[in-house]
Amino acid sequence: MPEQQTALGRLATTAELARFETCRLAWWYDHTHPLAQATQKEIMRRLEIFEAVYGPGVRDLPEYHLLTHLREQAKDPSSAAVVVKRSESLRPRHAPRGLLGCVVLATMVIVALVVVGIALSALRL
Amino acid sequence: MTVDVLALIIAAAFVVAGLIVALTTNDARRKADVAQPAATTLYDGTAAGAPPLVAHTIMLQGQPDNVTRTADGVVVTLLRKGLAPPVATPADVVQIAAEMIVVEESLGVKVSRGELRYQDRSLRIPFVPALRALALQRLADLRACDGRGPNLTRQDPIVCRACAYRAMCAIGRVNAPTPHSVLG
Repeated sequence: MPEQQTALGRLATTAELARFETCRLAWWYDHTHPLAQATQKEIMRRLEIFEAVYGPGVRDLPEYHLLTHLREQAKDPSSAAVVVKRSESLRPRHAPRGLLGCVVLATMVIVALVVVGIALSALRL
Repeated sequence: MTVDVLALIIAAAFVVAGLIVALTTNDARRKADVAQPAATTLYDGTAAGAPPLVAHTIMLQGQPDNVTRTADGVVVTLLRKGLAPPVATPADVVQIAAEMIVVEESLGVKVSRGELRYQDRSLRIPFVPALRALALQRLADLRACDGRGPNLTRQDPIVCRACAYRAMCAIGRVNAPTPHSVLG
């Protein structure tokens, strides 16, 4: 990760700050682990070796999770936290209840009427 | 016969009341939609190639997913995976506070609140002075640890169980042992 260094210190990121808040040691490992500066290609190579050696059980290994975590970091160096990116409208979302609501309400009313009618007929009998 | 007429009147009353309720709520909702002004996007971090924002005075870089100007003021949004927790995690609170500081400096606006948007709902984080102070304190702590490492002696086992480094971490090995860490 290219880092600017000034009198104030290097350029830190907000994602890094979140990582630091979660666990200071994990943040430190992010910077000092031998694979922390590895390219995505190198990490992928190691992942393939792991998968070949351990087979389907590889996902249970913490080292595998470490490599996948580092792969995510290598993909997006500006962010250690993996955040889902999705575009959606900022307008409030409402369920389409206009016409549907009327139909449901009318159905309920009809059912209620049928029940009342049956009850009244029974009373008359 | 009288009973039939009574039943019909009750039925008609039910139908009319139902229609009135349905139409009224629909109309109120439409009015609410019209009354709410459209949010103006000031920054879209999800756009391809969106440059990160930088607060040069504190050397902090951020990339919020959205910065919008709404009727409530400027809102900084971070999108999150999964369902919302009951309360925001400390890490998320610190991150969004830092994002708000970065947005204020880089875009020259006054941020009123942050929003952590999960799949099911959003958590609102008001940008109060104490939150700003917390983020700046954490940034100072981070800079103090830069270069020499943190002095941490204990950690919540829940954090360790979710950590990829637990097999190689002195604290993680104790808090969340794995087959590898047990074998050494």
